[in-house]
Amino acid sequence: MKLTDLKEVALKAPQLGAKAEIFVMRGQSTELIVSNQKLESLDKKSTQGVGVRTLVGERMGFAFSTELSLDSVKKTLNQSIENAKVTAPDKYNILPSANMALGDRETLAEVSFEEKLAQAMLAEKVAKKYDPRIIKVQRSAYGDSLAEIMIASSEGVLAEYTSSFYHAYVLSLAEEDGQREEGYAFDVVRKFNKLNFRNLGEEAADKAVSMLGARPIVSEKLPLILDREVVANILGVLADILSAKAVIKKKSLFADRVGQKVASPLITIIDDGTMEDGIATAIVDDEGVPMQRTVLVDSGVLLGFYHNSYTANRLQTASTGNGVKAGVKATVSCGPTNIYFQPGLASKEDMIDSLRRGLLINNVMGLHTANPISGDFSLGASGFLIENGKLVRPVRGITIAGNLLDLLSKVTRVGSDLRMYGSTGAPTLLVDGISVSGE
Amino acid sequence: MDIFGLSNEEIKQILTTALAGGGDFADLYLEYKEVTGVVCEEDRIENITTGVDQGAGIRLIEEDRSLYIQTNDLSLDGLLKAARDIALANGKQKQTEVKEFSPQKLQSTQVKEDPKTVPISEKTAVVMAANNVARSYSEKVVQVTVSYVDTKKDILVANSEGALSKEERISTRFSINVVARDKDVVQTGFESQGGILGFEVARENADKLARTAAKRAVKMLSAKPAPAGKMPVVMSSEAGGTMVHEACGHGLEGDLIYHGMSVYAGKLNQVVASKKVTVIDDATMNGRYGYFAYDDEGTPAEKTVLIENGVLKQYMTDLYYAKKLGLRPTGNGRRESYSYKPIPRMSTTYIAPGEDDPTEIINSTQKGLLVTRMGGGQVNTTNGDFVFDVAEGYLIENGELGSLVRGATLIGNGPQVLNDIEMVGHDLGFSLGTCGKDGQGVPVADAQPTIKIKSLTIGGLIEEEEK
Repeated sequence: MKLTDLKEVALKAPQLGAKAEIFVMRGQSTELIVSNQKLESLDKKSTQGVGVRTLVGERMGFAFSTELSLDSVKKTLNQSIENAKVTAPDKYNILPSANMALGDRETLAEVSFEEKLAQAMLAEKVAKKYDPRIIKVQRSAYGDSLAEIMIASSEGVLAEYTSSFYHAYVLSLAEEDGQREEGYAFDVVRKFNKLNFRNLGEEAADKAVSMLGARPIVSEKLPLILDREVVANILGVLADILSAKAVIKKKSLFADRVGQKVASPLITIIDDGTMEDGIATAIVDDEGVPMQRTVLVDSGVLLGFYHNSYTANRLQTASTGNGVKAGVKATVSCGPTNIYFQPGLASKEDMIDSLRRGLLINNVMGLHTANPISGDFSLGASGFLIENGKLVRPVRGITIAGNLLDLLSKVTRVGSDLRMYGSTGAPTLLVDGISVSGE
Repeated sequence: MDIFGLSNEEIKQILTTALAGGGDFADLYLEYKEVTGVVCEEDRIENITTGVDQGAGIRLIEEDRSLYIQTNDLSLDGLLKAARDIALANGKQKQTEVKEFSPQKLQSTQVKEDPKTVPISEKTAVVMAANNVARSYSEKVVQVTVSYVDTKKDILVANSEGALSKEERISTRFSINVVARDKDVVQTGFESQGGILGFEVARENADKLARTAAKRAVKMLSAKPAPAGKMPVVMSSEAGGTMVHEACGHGLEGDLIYHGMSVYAGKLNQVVASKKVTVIDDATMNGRYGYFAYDDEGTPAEKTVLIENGVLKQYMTDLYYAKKLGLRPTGNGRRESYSYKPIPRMSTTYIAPGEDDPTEIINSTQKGLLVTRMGGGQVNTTNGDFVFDVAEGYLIENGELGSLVRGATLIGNGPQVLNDIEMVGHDLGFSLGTCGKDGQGVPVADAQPTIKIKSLTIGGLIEEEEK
């Protein structure tokens, strides 16, 4: 199946009374897991599929198939047209027009299987040796994948590129006085040599060991230092509020607030589909629109939202290249690319030093229950109690609660330690008085 | 109609080819799924999606090691190629013979209204009707999202030990999310119903679900924030079963037991809960979202008593971890799709009804929180800490219902909470969801009677004036 084949099918759609956009993805991935310095499992996957959006008048349809033949693409196109006929007309429905984008055809780094295995084994060994209280490294994993994307539309979009990804993770187990804690470290990158297996091993071990002996504190309003990983996770929820789709659907707390102060002046949030080696970086988004860098919140002021072609058409602006699909089986939505909080100047140590009493939050639970529409969050949390500028003891079995907007406005310091976790990035943040519920 | 069109001989040939490079065990999983989805938002049918998703996975196990190859190619040639690839990857000599299979027999779901026979216009009509009910409930309703999905999934599983099963699962799910707004306050109400059922589940429940979701979104606008701190908690049966799923369900899954990542490891036949607590996982409950006739490794589904009157009786296992733990397989080997290896998962998990009167349970509570709707949850099985979301609750004052409180997360520790269950009602209420583990989502149902827990930490707000 070539791009020219897709183009030919797409160009025939007008004869069927429709405009069409054909999206094809082919992928292959491998993951190996090491346990006790031996290969425990090896998974090889090859996936493929086609998703077709059609526009019949003002009605949009969608259909997909994981069978990838010319015949199946045509069938999926016909089915998509049938589906379009039953949806409601919407004068803002649009398929983006002419854009030729031939991106990089990345290939996987030439690293032997033995070397990949050796690196995963190294991560395991480092974690195991980190502390005598590490009783087991449950798994150390390495994986890589290639994703080939082709988009062709009757409106002149022709795009093709292949992206490569490498990931690794370590899950370790620590025990003391009959109490066990786990520690998990993960990284995904676009270049093999950016994976630091030794660091991942150490991080996973440290996270497990440091939580040994954790117990709750009493309920209290406290300043919180939110570790960058926690902040990145929270940004994953917050990002929804910055979507033009949420604004249109009356689901964004930021609607009607462009140009206003919505966060502490220390907060800048950027979506950047062009970030070098970014996990979401590509030459075009999933509807063939070039990706770009968009400043969403600048020094606490809301500048705007990220858009796909539909939201842009409806709100009379230009797409910011945020038409994203959750795989070939999903239709185009409006989502973030690489999104992050711009780093500040503070060090995490200085933040800890500055607190007479507070909490360092290293992990949260139940984030999928946080509500981006109301902004309310209430999360299980664990971390460390801080007294007089020192980490005193590990804490777990508590919750932190509030509203995301309130949280953003209470940020008093921003760390310089930006780290990307997949396509979401953040530095450590210090926030004033948040409700902590415990004993 | 036979979707896969493979004879027993051909299946044997595939498994024999997979084992040509050594291995103790091999299995083949084939899946063919058809999906239809309808979404209504902004007062109109916004999206109709249909699709075909098909693929296969071949697994090879040798001692402590497993290999898995996945492909979208379901032709005999495609499957033989995948089998050769896996043999090559294993690269050894030892031969394991593939046992004979019994004749193929399709196990199919009996549903009242097969969604395939229902025209799309009827599906959109039910969705739009629910939208209208929710929108007309109050002027404060600003957005309604209704989503309907039906799937037909055909599965064939065969392994080198002679197991062979074929199953067709039809499932339907209907969900509605309502957003209500009053000046600067925005709240939501969510309801969902579904199962291994046909279109009837949408037709019969849409109206009620729409009303319930809209009512909750609107009434939550005037609710006070939930309090912070520890207090007794009564969970109404209508709240659903998320708590049992997180507090002990995951911790009783065989892989986590084997890896020492569960607070329940090494506790078989020991007391792990209050005498009033019996916990069961039952994949055979007809129509429930966690129903299946065979698990995704071809083991017949069963009702498994996990905890009986407070004593830990069994763990949930798949074939691999049953062997590792020296236990029998309980038919809990499940996978999201052909893309994944099976792992031990729950099906329909519940606390068995007890003898207490639900009203009496509330009346016996001096001060506490009554949970009337739960949302999702999460657990750290290693240390036992778990959270679950309360979407709707009331304060209990002197045994009477007090003020409505807004959503909050509750946190507890599994073994402690199971011991702290003081009363168990004679009722039972179900909920359903998609449970995520190791990156795989599978449909599950949970249920609980009305229960009273001595104390749990409520993740609410500390009022300014109390400072």
